[in-house]
Amino acid sequence: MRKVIIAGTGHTSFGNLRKYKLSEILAYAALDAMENGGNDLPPIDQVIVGNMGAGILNHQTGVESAVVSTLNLEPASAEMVVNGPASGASAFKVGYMAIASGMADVVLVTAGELMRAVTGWQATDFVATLTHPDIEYPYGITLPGYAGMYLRAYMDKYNISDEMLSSISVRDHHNGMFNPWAHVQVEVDKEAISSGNDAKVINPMVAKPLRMYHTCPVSDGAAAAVLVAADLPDIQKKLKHKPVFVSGIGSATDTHCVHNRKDLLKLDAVRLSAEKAYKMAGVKASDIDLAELHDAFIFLELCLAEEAGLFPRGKAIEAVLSGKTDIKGQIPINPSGGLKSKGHPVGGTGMSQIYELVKQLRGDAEKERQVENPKTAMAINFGGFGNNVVTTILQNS
Amino acid sequence: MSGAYELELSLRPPEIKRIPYPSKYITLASGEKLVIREARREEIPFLLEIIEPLIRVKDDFYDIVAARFYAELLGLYRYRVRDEFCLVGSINGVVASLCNSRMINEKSGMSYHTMTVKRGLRCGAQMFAAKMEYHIEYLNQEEVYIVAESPIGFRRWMIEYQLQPRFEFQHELGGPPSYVLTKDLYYQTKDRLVAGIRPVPDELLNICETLKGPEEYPQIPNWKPRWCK
Amino acid sequence: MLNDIDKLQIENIYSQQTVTNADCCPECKTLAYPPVLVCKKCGNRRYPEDEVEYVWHKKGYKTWSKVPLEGKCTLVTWTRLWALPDGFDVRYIDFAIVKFENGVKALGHLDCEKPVAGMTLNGDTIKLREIDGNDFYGLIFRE
Repeated sequence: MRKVIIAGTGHTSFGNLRKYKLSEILAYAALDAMENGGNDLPPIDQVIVGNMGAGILNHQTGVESAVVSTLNLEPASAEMVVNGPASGASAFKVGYMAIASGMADVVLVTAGELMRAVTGWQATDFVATLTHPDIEYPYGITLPGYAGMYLRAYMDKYNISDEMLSSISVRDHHNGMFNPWAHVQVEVDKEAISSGNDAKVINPMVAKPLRMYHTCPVSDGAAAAVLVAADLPDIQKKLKHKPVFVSGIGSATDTHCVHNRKDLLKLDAVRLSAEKAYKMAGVKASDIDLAELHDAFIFLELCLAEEAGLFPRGKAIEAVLSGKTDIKGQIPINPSGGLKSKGHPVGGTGMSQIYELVKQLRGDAEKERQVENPKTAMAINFGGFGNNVVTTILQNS
Repeated sequence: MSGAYELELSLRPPEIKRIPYPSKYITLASGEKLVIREARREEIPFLLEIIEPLIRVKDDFYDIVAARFYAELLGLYRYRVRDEFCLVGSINGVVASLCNSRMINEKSGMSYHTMTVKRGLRCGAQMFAAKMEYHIEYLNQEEVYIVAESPIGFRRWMIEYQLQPRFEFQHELGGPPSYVLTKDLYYQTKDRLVAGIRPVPDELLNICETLKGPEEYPQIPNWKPRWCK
Repeated sequence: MLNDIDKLQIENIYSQQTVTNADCCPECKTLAYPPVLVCKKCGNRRYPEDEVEYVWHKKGYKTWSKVPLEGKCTLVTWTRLWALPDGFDVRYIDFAIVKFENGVKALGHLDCEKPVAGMTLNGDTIKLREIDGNDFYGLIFRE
């Protein structure tokens, strides 16, 4: 398989972008990535778009064609990849496969979502369509509902308190303050949201015991990358930035219905996808220098870290509380602010994680959140409630 | 002269005696303290200056809410609206959020508007709750009539407070039929929705004694208000 | 309690049958919920029962039977969901995942004042709501 380099990355603000069209924000991120990649690269011959809700939220289909035309990239091949909230990483994986297989030399991957085109209730309903249409969806269950049930079992088993979880929120929001793209740039006070007098009201329950400051906001946004084959003639001379290599990608699935998991507290798809990615990259969990973990619900960061072998089961919270996951810690997690602060445009999150990894590996992140000398970085993009997970490992050497 | 004075008096509405809103403070998620107190009449011209830029913001119905709020506060200032009050929420003395309402009579209240300048900390929800708290707990009213311009905001209140329809009653703001928050409904939801501690410590009260305008309006990017230029 | 009209509705609507019954593999008796087309244990296949003339519908095909989901079950986990999606005007709904005595796990509404993981509940089918003018009958778990 050919080696693949990430030549350029791009990102839009995350937040409220509903005055734009979906194809526009995808194209803006793509343009940013193309400029970041520089003018010396060969022409783009494949465009991959990652998105989940174009048809439902934005009443727009054929978005990949719209993006190609918006950027005047005809006659490049163009396809859309849909994998729920893991659409971004799956789009990246397909882009990688196009080059690795020899079918393309230069691939543009752009992924995003325009969720605030509808109300919060409609957005919640849209994400709930990930559940089984007969035996889950009609009940009114949502992904936060499943998160609440999972969190209850996790808190009971590992003796985790509400206040401990709030520490993760505080760290994420602090990191997000230095991310110019972050949706929610507000420092959060741990006592105020957990044990303070007004905590019950200002941090209300969403799905008991999951609270509002344990869940990500509903965001619009997009991120993109330009991938090139490492064996193209003189490609290293044409790169504008230090090359970042795609070392490992793994994906796996688990049961569609959450209640059918063998062990409710084990996210097998996360573990298996991470193992595949580690194997492909020739690394172990202990080689990971930083990670972007899909914390749509902040406790997921703990679960994903444990499943990926970064910490023993039930012990990830200790790492957070002791500062091991801070920017200057042993294994920084979510230096971008995570989904909690940065935001979660569902189909675009995977690419946003990859954007962050590239920035960190190049040493280009804002100084307050730049991890020192990372070499190997990992992103886990969590589709559904663990139904379909993609792990990506990037390295800068 | 006396004729003009008498004419002015005849144009002013009679007042129901009411106790002033007892100030409280709420610790927001950022750790900042939102101090909610009743606006003084002499502060209204400054509050009008704070509201006015939002009349030009079309998103999220800011334009209509700001325009109507402006008119209502002006009416309060010029003694042309009956039994209206305005609550202001400030953080470190900087105005974050405002709301207003009035008493129809001793038994019923009419909720007017709630508006937030500082976004991201749910200040608006706290101001609305404070307004309802004042009507029901301190003014001892039985019910408060509520409508809204923003469909999203209204649906949020309708579900969170489980408001009852009172469609036979036409709200002063016109528009859709009215809903009502009754005393019973208020007390059922108070624990979950109404926050705050009293009394407000002197040092916090002193800071918000003189209100300051916000340094930026997230709703109007790249624009600075008069007091920041 | 369901009346005769309710029961007829559930019987006549395929998706309702899916909600309130598990499917039983005729070969190895493994239960599947929701229905599958390939048995997880023995690989036996399931074809549409009312499509008799399909070319791939084999001779000697045994239909999968239905096992109603009802009766004693154990509470696995639960939540009170406040942030409901579009279409719901109530403040909250209690949800639970339970495990029935036959090993089938299911999601449903919960009607229990003080739920505790591991407690025994009783599963039943009731009309839970209306969706686009059609009644939805689903599982509810009670003490």
